[in-house]
Amino acid sequence: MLNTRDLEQRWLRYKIKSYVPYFTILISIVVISAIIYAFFNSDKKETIYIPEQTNKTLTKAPITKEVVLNTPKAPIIKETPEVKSIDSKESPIIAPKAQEKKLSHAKDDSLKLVPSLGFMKNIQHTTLPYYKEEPKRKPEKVSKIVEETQEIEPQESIEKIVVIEKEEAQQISIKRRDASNDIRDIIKRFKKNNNPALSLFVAKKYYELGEYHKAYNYALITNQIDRDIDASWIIFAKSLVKLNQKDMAIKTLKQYLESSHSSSAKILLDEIVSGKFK
Amino acid sequence: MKIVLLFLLTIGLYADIKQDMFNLYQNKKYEKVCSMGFDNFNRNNKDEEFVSLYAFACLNSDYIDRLAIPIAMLKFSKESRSNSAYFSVILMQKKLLYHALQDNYNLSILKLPTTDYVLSTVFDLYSKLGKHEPRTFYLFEDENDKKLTYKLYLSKDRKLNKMIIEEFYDTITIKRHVYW
Repeated sequence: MLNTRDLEQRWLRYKIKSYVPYFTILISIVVISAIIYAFFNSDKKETIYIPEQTNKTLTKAPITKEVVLNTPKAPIIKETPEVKSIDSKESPIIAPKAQEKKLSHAKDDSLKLVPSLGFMKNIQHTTLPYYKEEPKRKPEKVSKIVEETQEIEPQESIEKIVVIEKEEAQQISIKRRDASNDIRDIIKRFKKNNNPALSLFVAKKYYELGEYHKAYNYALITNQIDRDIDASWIIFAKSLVKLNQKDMAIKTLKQYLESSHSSSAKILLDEIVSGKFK
Repeated sequence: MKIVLLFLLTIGLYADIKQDMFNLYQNKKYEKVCSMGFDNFNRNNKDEEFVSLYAFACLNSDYIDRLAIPIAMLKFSKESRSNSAYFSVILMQKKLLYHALQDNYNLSILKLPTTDYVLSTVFDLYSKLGKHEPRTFYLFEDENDKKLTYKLYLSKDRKLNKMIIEEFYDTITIKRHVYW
Protein backbone atom coordinates (compact mmCIF):
# COMPACT_ATOMS: atom_id res chain seq x y z
CA MET A 1 0.00 0.00 0.00
CA LEU A 2 1.23 3.45 -0.83
CA ASN A 3 2.25 5.77 1.94
CA THR A 4 0.53 8.89 0.61
CA ARG A 5 1.64 11.13 3.46
CA ASP A 6 5.26 10.40 2.83
CA LEU A 7 4.76 10.82 -0.86
CA GLU A 8 3.12 14.20 -0.41
CA GLN A 9 6.01 15.39 1.76
CA ARG A 10 8.52 14.24 -0.80
CA TRP A 11 6.58 15.90 -3.57
CA LEU A 12 6.54 19.17 -1.59
CA ARG A 13 10.30 19.02 -1.03
CA TYR A 14 10.84 18.30 -4.70
CA LYS A 15 8.65 21.22 -5.66
CA ILE A 16 10.44 23.63 -3.35
CA LYS A 17 13.81 22.48 -4.63
CA SER A 18 12.73 23.01 -8.22
CA TYR A 19 12.00 26.72 -7.45
CA VAL A 20 15.31 27.36 -5.72
CA PRO A 21 17.35 28.16 -8.88
CA TYR A 22 14.71 30.63 -10.08
CA PHE A 23 14.70 32.40 -6.74
CA THR A 24 18.47 32.55 -6.68
CA ILE A 25 18.65 34.04 -10.16
CA LEU A 26 15.94 36.56 -9.38
CA ILE A 27 17.52 37.72 -6.15
CA SER A 28 20.95 38.04 -7.75
CA ILE A 29 19.50 40.11 -10.63
CA VAL A 30 17.77 42.45 -8.19
CA VAL A 31 20.93 42.83 -6.12
CA ILE A 32 23.10 43.45 -9.19
CA SER A 33 20.72 46.01 -10.65
CA ALA A 34 20.45 47.77 -7.29
CA ILE A 35 24.25 47.93 -7.04
CA ILE A 36 24.54 49.25 -10.61
CA TYR A 37 21.88 51.89 -9.95
CA ALA A 38 23.55 52.94 -6.72
CA PHE A 39 26.92 53.09 -8.47
CA PHE A 40 25.66 55.33 -11.28
CA ASN A 41 23.75 57.49 -8.86
CA SER A 42 26.78 58.10 -6.70
CA ASP A 43 28.77 58.86 -9.84
CA LYS A 44 26.27 61.52 -10.82
CA LYS A 45 26.36 63.08 -7.38
CA GLU A 46 30.10 63.34 -7.53
CA THR A 47 29.94 65.15 -10.86
CA ILE A 48 27.62 67.70 -9.36
CA TYR A 49 29.30 68.40 -6.14
CA ILE A 50 32.94 68.51 -7.15
CA PRO A 51 32.55 71.79 -9.05
CA GLU A 52 30.37 73.06 -6.25
CA GLN A 53 33.29 72.99 -3.90
CA THR A 54 34.58 76.07 -5.67
CA ASN A 55 31.27 77.86 -5.19
CA LYS A 56 30.92 79.88 -2.09
CA THR A 57 27.88 78.91 -0.11
CA LEU A 58 28.26 81.76 2.27
CA THR A 59 29.66 84.87 0.71
CA LYS A 60 29.81 88.44 1.80
CA ALA A 61 27.58 91.17 0.49
CA PRO A 62 28.75 91.37 -3.14
CA ILE A 63 27.61 88.38 -5.15
CA THR A 64 28.51 87.26 -8.63
CA LYS A 65 26.32 88.38 -11.46
CA GLU A 66 25.88 84.84 -12.70
CA VAL A 67 24.21 83.68 -9.56
CA VAL A 68 21.70 86.46 -9.71
CA LEU A 69 20.91 85.64 -13.31
CA ASN A 70 20.37 82.04 -12.44
CA THR A 71 17.45 82.79 -10.20
CA PRO A 72 14.76 84.03 -12.50
CA LYS A 73 11.57 85.19 -10.93
CA ALA A 74 8.14 84.68 -12.30
CA PRO A 75 5.75 87.55 -12.63
CA ILE A 76 3.05 86.81 -10.10
CA ILE A 77 -0.51 87.49 -11.04
CA LYS A 78 -2.81 86.61 -8.26
CA GLU A 79 -6.17 87.77 -7.06
CA THR A 80 -6.28 91.46 -6.27
CA PRO A 81 -7.45 91.86 -2.74
CA GLU A 82 -8.56 95.17 -1.44
CA VAL A 83 -6.12 97.23 0.54
CA LYS A 84 -6.65 97.23 4.26
CA SER A 85 -5.78 100.38 6.04
CA ILE A 86 -4.09 99.54 9.28
CA ASP A 87 -4.59 103.03 10.48
CA SER A 88 -6.77 105.12 8.22
CA LYS A 89 -5.59 108.35 9.85
CA GLU A 90 -2.03 107.58 8.99
CA SER A 91 -0.86 109.06 5.77
CA PRO A 92 1.51 107.03 3.59
CA ILE A 93 5.04 107.91 4.44
CA ILE A 94 8.05 107.14 2.31
CA ALA A 95 10.73 105.48 4.36
CA PRO A 96 13.08 108.23 5.39
CA LYS A 97 16.40 107.95 3.65
CA ALA A 98 18.31 109.11 6.69
CA GLN A 99 17.09 106.12 8.61
CA GLU A 100 17.88 103.81 5.75
CA LYS A 101 21.42 105.10 5.51
CA LYS A 102 21.86 104.85 9.25
CA LEU A 103 22.09 101.11 9.15
CA SER A 104 23.49 100.64 5.65
CA HIS A 105 26.88 100.00 7.16
CA ALA A 106 25.42 97.19 9.23
CA LYS A 107 24.16 95.49 6.08
CA ASP A 108 27.61 95.37 4.59
CA ASP A 109 28.71 93.29 7.51
CA SER A 110 25.83 90.86 7.32
CA LEU A 111 26.15 87.67 5.36
CA LYS A 112 24.44 87.16 2.07
CA LEU A 113 23.24 83.70 1.22
CA VAL A 114 23.14 82.73 -2.43
CA PRO A 115 21.34 79.80 -4.05
CA SER A 116 23.41 76.92 -5.38
CA LEU A 117 22.04 75.81 -8.72
CA GLY A 118 24.68 73.24 -9.58
CA PHE A 119 22.17 70.41 -9.39
CA MET A 120 20.44 71.84 -12.45
CA LYS A 121 23.49 71.21 -14.60
CA ASN A 122 23.23 67.55 -13.79
CA ILE A 123 19.57 67.42 -14.70
CA GLN A 124 20.26 69.41 -17.85
CA HIS A 125 22.75 66.84 -19.13
CA THR A 126 20.06 64.22 -19.18
CA THR A 127 17.33 66.44 -20.53
CA LEU A 128 15.22 65.10 -23.36
CA PRO A 129 14.34 67.22 -26.41
CA TYR A 130 12.70 70.33 -25.15
CA TYR A 131 9.54 70.59 -27.17
CA LYS A 132 8.33 67.03 -26.98
CA GLU A 133 5.11 68.09 -25.24
CA GLU A 134 4.87 71.77 -25.92
CA PRO A 135 2.35 72.65 -28.61
CA LYS A 136 3.92 74.37 -31.55
CA ARG A 137 2.55 77.82 -31.90
CA LYS A 138 3.08 79.93 -34.92
CA PRO A 139 0.83 82.97 -34.82
CA GLU A 140 0.60 85.11 -37.88
CA LYS A 141 1.95 88.11 -36.00
CA VAL A 142 5.34 86.53 -35.70
CA SER A 143 5.78 86.16 -39.38
CA LYS A 144 4.79 89.77 -39.73
CA ILE A 145 7.63 90.86 -37.50
CA VAL A 146 10.02 88.51 -39.23
CA GLU A 147 9.18 90.02 -42.58
CA GLU A 148 9.93 93.46 -41.26
CA THR A 149 13.17 92.45 -39.70
CA GLN A 150 14.29 91.07 -43.01
CA GLU A 151 14.45 94.61 -44.27
CA ILE A 152 17.32 95.56 -42.03
CA GLU A 153 19.78 93.67 -44.14
CA PRO A 154 18.85 94.16 -47.73
CA GLN A 155 21.62 92.00 -49.16
CA GLU A 156 20.72 88.79 -47.39
CA SER A 157 17.52 87.18 -46.22
CA ILE A 158 17.12 86.08 -42.63
CA GLU A 159 17.26 82.46 -43.68
CA LYS A 160 20.62 83.05 -45.23
CA ILE A 161 21.82 84.73 -42.09
CA VAL A 162 20.77 81.75 -40.04
CA VAL A 163 22.57 79.37 -42.39
CA ILE A 164 25.68 81.52 -42.33
CA GLU A 165 25.38 81.69 -38.59
CA LYS A 166 25.42 77.91 -38.40
CA GLU A 167 28.56 77.85 -40.45
CA GLU A 168 30.12 80.59 -38.40
CA ALA A 169 29.21 78.84 -35.21
CA GLN A 170 31.69 76.14 -36.04
CA GLN A 171 34.53 78.61 -36.45
CA ILE A 172 33.86 81.12 -33.77
CA SER A 173 36.99 82.97 -32.86
CA ILE A 174 36.24 85.08 -29.90
CA LYS A 175 39.07 86.55 -27.92
CA ARG A 176 37.74 85.40 -24.59
CA ARG A 177 38.42 81.73 -24.58
CA ASP A 178 36.00 80.73 -21.83
CA ALA A 179 33.08 82.60 -23.34
CA SER A 180 33.67 81.14 -26.81
CA ASN A 181 33.80 77.62 -25.42
CA ASP A 182 30.63 78.21 -23.48
CA ILE A 183 28.83 79.57 -26.51
CA ARG A 184 30.02 76.72 -28.72
CA ASP A 185 28.84 74.18 -26.21
CA ILE A 186 25.50 75.88 -25.87
CA ILE A 187 25.00 76.19 -29.61
CA LYS A 188 25.58 72.44 -29.89
CA ARG A 189 23.02 71.78 -27.21
CA PHE A 190 20.60 74.20 -28.79
CA LYS A 191 20.87 72.38 -32.12
CA LYS A 192 20.01 69.15 -30.35
CA ASN A 193 17.01 70.18 -28.31
CA ASN A 194 15.89 73.52 -29.78
CA ASN A 195 15.46 75.01 -26.35
CA PRO A 196 14.73 78.77 -26.52
CA ALA A 197 16.43 79.31 -23.16
CA LEU A 198 19.70 78.24 -24.78
CA SER A 199 19.35 80.43 -27.86
CA LEU A 200 18.45 83.33 -25.61
CA PHE A 201 21.57 82.69 -23.59
CA VAL A 202 23.66 82.69 -26.77
CA ALA A 203 22.00 85.94 -27.89
CA LYS A 204 22.77 87.53 -24.53
CA LYS A 205 26.36 86.36 -24.61
CA TYR A 206 26.91 87.67 -28.12
CA TYR A 207 25.35 90.95 -27.10
CA GLU A 208 27.69 91.19 -24.13
CA LEU A 209 30.61 90.47 -26.42
CA GLY A 210 29.51 93.24 -28.74
CA GLU A 211 28.64 90.92 -31.63
CA TYR A 212 25.31 92.51 -32.30
CA HIS A 213 24.63 90.76 -35.61
CA LYS A 214 24.86 87.37 -33.98
CA ALA A 215 22.92 88.54 -30.94
CA TYR A 216 20.22 89.78 -33.29
CA ASN A 217 20.10 86.46 -35.15
CA TYR A 218 19.84 84.33 -32.03
CA ALA A 219 17.26 86.63 -30.48
CA LEU A 220 15.29 86.30 -33.71
CA ILE A 221 15.51 82.50 -33.56
CA THR A 222 14.37 82.61 -29.94
CA ASN A 223 11.41 84.76 -30.87
CA GLN A 224 10.46 82.34 -33.60
CA ILE A 225 10.46 79.44 -31.16
CA ASP A 226 8.73 81.23 -28.33
CA ARG A 227 7.43 84.73 -28.84
CA ASP A 228 6.53 85.28 -25.18
CA ILE A 229 10.04 85.67 -23.82
CA ASP A 230 10.53 89.28 -22.81
CA ALA A 231 14.29 89.10 -22.54
CA SER A 232 14.59 87.86 -26.09
CA TRP A 233 12.62 90.78 -27.53
CA ILE A 234 14.70 93.15 -25.45
CA ILE A 235 17.98 91.74 -26.75
CA PHE A 236 16.50 91.80 -30.24
CA ALA A 237 15.59 95.47 -29.96
CA LYS A 238 18.85 96.42 -28.28
CA SER A 239 20.82 94.69 -31.02
CA LEU A 240 18.83 96.57 -33.65
CA VAL A 241 19.68 99.86 -31.97
CA LYS A 242 23.34 98.89 -31.89
CA LEU A 243 23.11 98.03 -35.58
CA ASN A 244 21.84 101.58 -36.23
CA GLN A 245 18.32 100.37 -36.84
CA LYS A 246 16.67 102.49 -34.17
CA ASP A 247 13.41 102.93 -36.09
CA MET A 248 13.10 99.22 -36.63
CA ALA A 249 13.75 98.59 -32.95
CA ILE A 250 11.04 101.06 -31.96
CA LYS A 251 8.60 99.56 -34.43
CA THR A 252 9.30 96.01 -33.26
CA LEU A 253 8.95 96.92 -29.59
CA LYS A 254 5.70 98.73 -30.25
CA GLN A 255 4.29 95.68 -32.01
CA TYR A 256 5.46 93.44 -29.22
CA LEU A 257 3.88 95.72 -26.61
CA GLU A 258 0.55 95.48 -28.37
CA SER A 259 0.38 91.80 -27.53
CA SER A 260 2.37 91.53 -24.31
CA HIS A 261 2.19 94.77 -22.30
CA SER A 262 5.61 93.98 -20.94
CA SER A 263 6.88 96.63 -18.54
CA SER A 264 10.54 96.01 -19.29
CA ALA A 265 9.90 96.34 -23.02
CA LYS A 266 8.05 99.56 -22.33
CA ILE A 267 10.97 100.88 -20.31
CA LEU A 268 13.38 100.01 -23.09
CA LEU A 269 11.12 101.61 -25.68
CA ASP A 270 11.02 104.84 -23.66
CA GLU A 271 14.77 104.80 -23.28
CA ILE A 272 15.31 104.27 -27.01
CA VAL A 273 12.82 106.99 -27.94
CA SER A 274 14.30 109.46 -25.45
CA GLY A 275 17.80 108.64 -26.64
CA LYS A 276 18.99 107.30 -23.28
CA PHE A 277 19.79 103.98 -24.86
CA LYS A 278 22.20 104.30 -27.73
CA MET B 1 11.73 39.02 -13.57
CA LYS B 2 8.57 40.99 -12.95
CA ILE B 3 10.09 42.62 -9.92
CA VAL B 4 13.13 43.71 -11.89
CA LEU B 5 10.96 45.12 -14.64
CA LEU B 6 8.81 46.98 -12.13
CA PHE B 7 11.92 48.30 -10.45
CA LEU B 8 13.37 49.60 -13.72
CA LEU B 9 10.03 51.03 -14.82
CA THR B 10 9.64 52.92 -11.56
CA ILE B 11 13.10 54.45 -11.88
CA GLY B 12 12.28 55.47 -15.46
CA LEU B 13 9.03 57.11 -14.43
CA TYR B 14 10.66 59.10 -11.63
CA ALA B 15 13.37 60.34 -13.96
CA ASP B 16 10.73 61.37 -16.46
CA ILE B 17 8.88 63.47 -13.90
CA LYS B 18 12.06 65.23 -12.90
CA GLN B 19 12.96 65.99 -16.50
CA ASP B 20 9.49 67.24 -17.27
CA MET B 21 9.72 69.50 -14.28
CA PHE B 22 13.12 70.72 -15.36
CA ASN B 23 11.91 71.51 -18.87
CA LEU B 24 9.00 73.45 -17.45
CA TYR B 25 11.33 75.24 -15.04
CA GLN B 26 13.52 76.32 -17.92
CA ASN B 27 10.42 77.66 -19.58
CA LYS B 28 9.69 79.63 -16.40
CA LYS B 29 6.52 77.72 -15.57
CA TYR B 30 7.38 77.85 -11.90
CA GLU B 31 3.89 77.49 -10.55
CA LYS B 32 3.29 74.33 -12.57
CA VAL B 33 6.62 72.86 -11.49
CA CYS B 34 5.77 73.62 -7.88
CA SER B 35 2.42 71.87 -8.07
CA MET B 36 3.93 68.91 -9.97
CA GLY B 37 6.60 68.60 -7.31
CA PHE B 38 3.99 68.82 -4.60
CA ASP B 39 1.96 65.99 -6.17
CA ASN B 40 4.97 63.72 -6.62
CA PHE B 41 6.89 64.69 -3.54
CA ASN B 42 6.37 61.54 -1.48
CA ARG B 43 7.71 59.30 -4.22
CA ASN B 44 10.80 61.44 -4.82
CA ASN B 45 11.61 62.85 -1.43
CA LYS B 46 14.95 61.02 -1.31
CA ASP B 47 16.13 62.65 -4.52
CA GLU B 48 17.75 65.93 -3.53
CA GLU B 49 17.83 67.22 -7.10
CA PHE B 50 14.08 66.77 -7.29
CA VAL B 51 13.55 68.41 -3.90
CA SER B 52 15.79 71.35 -4.82
CA LEU B 53 14.04 71.86 -8.15
CA TYR B 54 10.67 71.75 -6.43
CA ALA B 55 11.83 74.22 -3.79
CA PHE B 56 13.23 76.74 -6.29
CA ALA B 57 10.05 76.54 -8.36
CA CYS B 58 7.93 77.18 -5.26
CA LEU B 59 10.20 80.06 -4.25
CA ASN B 60 9.89 81.65 -7.68
CA SER B 61 6.13 81.28 -7.62
CA ASP B 62 5.95 82.78 -4.11
CA TYR B 63 4.75 79.63 -2.37
CA ILE B 64 7.16 80.23 0.47
CA ASP B 65 5.44 78.01 3.02
CA ARG B 66 6.07 74.98 0.82
CA LEU B 67 9.78 75.45 1.44
CA ALA B 68 9.41 74.13 4.98
CA ILE B 69 9.64 70.47 3.98
CA PRO B 70 12.56 70.88 1.51
CA ILE B 71 14.39 72.81 4.24
CA ALA B 72 14.16 69.75 6.44
CA MET B 73 14.93 67.28 3.66
CA LEU B 74 17.96 68.95 2.07
CA LYS B 75 20.92 67.91 4.16
CA PHE B 76 22.98 65.20 2.47
CA SER B 77 25.27 67.31 0.30
CA LYS B 78 27.03 70.63 0.62
CA GLU B 79 24.92 72.18 -2.11
CA SER B 80 21.70 70.97 -0.51
CA ARG B 81 22.66 72.31 2.88
CA SER B 82 23.52 75.65 1.33
CA ASN B 83 20.15 75.80 -0.42
CA SER B 84 18.40 74.68 2.75
CA ALA B 85 19.97 77.59 4.66
CA TYR B 86 19.01 79.96 1.83
CA PHE B 87 15.38 78.84 1.90
CA SER B 88 15.18 78.91 5.68
CA VAL B 89 16.36 82.54 5.80
CA ILE B 90 13.67 83.53 3.31
CA LEU B 91 10.99 81.60 5.15
CA MET B 92 11.99 83.14 8.47
CA GLN B 93 12.09 86.64 7.01
CA LYS B 94 8.65 86.16 5.53
CA LYS B 95 7.23 85.06 8.86
CA LEU B 96 8.94 87.87 10.76
CA LEU B 97 7.90 90.55 8.29
CA TYR B 98 4.30 89.33 8.36
CA HIS B 99 4.39 89.34 12.17
CA ALA B 100 5.83 92.85 12.15
CA LEU B 101 3.18 94.18 9.78
CA GLN B 102 0.31 92.55 11.61
CA ASP B 103 1.41 93.03 15.20
CA ASN B 104 3.95 95.84 14.94
CA TYR B 105 6.79 93.58 16.03
CA ASN B 106 10.10 95.41 16.11
CA LEU B 107 12.55 93.93 13.60
CA SER B 108 15.32 96.47 14.00
CA ILE B 109 16.90 94.57 16.89
CA LEU B 110 17.47 91.55 14.66
CA LYS B 111 20.54 91.00 12.58
CA LEU B 112 19.96 88.25 10.07
CA PRO B 113 21.71 87.07 6.93
CA THR B 114 20.19 88.32 3.73
CA THR B 115 19.60 86.91 0.24
CA ASP B 116 19.03 88.19 -3.28
CA TYR B 117 15.33 87.38 -3.07
CA VAL B 118 12.91 90.35 -3.11
CA LEU B 119 11.46 89.48 0.29
CA SER B 120 14.90 89.71 1.87
CA THR B 121 15.53 93.09 0.27
CA VAL B 122 12.24 94.44 1.60
CA PHE B 123 12.88 92.82 4.98
CA ASP B 124 16.23 94.60 5.24
CA LEU B 125 14.72 97.93 4.26
CA TYR B 126 11.84 97.49 6.68
CA SER B 127 14.06 96.53 9.59
CA LYS B 128 16.13 99.66 9.01
CA LEU B 129 13.09 101.78 9.85
CA GLY B 130 13.41 100.92 13.51
CA LYS B 131 10.50 101.12 15.88
CA HIS B 132 7.68 103.14 14.35
CA GLU B 133 3.95 103.62 14.24
CA PRO B 134 2.20 101.28 11.80
CA ARG B 135 1.54 102.77 8.37
CA THR B 136 -0.95 102.11 5.62
CA PHE B 137 1.86 101.18 3.30
CA TYR B 138 5.58 101.53 2.97
CA LEU B 139 7.61 102.67 -0.01
CA PHE B 140 11.23 101.70 -0.18
CA GLU B 141 13.82 102.76 -2.69
CA ASP B 142 16.30 100.15 -3.84
CA GLU B 143 19.80 100.89 -2.68
CA ASN B 144 21.43 99.91 -5.96
CA ASP B 145 18.88 101.19 -8.45
CA LYS B 146 17.07 104.41 -7.61
CA LYS B 147 14.39 103.80 -10.17
CA LEU B 148 13.42 100.56 -8.49
CA THR B 149 10.98 100.91 -5.60
CA TYR B 150 9.09 98.45 -3.44
CA LYS B 151 5.68 98.96 -1.97
CA LEU B 152 4.83 96.90 1.07
CA TYR B 153 1.38 96.67 2.57
CA LEU B 154 -1.19 94.37 4.07
CA SER B 155 -4.30 93.55 2.15
CA LYS B 156 -7.53 92.24 3.54
CA ASP B 157 -8.83 88.93 2.34
CA ARG B 158 -11.93 87.08 3.54
CA LYS B 159 -10.22 85.30 6.38
CA LEU B 160 -6.59 86.24 6.38
CA ASN B 161 -4.65 89.42 5.81
CA LYS B 162 -2.09 89.04 3.06
CA MET B 163 1.25 90.70 2.75
CA ILE B 164 1.84 92.30 -0.63
CA ILE B 165 5.13 93.42 -2.11
CA GLU B 166 4.95 95.34 -5.37
CA GLU B 167 8.01 96.13 -7.42
CA PHE B 168 7.97 99.34 -9.41
CA TYR B 169 10.37 100.58 -11.99
CA ASP B 170 9.85 104.24 -12.77
CA THR B 171 6.27 104.01 -11.43
CA ILE B 172 5.51 101.00 -13.62
CA THR B 173 4.55 97.83 -11.78
CA ILE B 174 6.96 95.05 -12.62
CA LYS B 175 5.95 92.29 -10.24
CA ARG B 176 3.49 91.68 -7.49
CA HIS B 177 4.19 89.16 -4.76
CA VAL B 178 1.49 87.92 -2.40
CA TYR B 179 2.42 86.17 0.84
CA TRP B 180 0.35 84.93 3.74
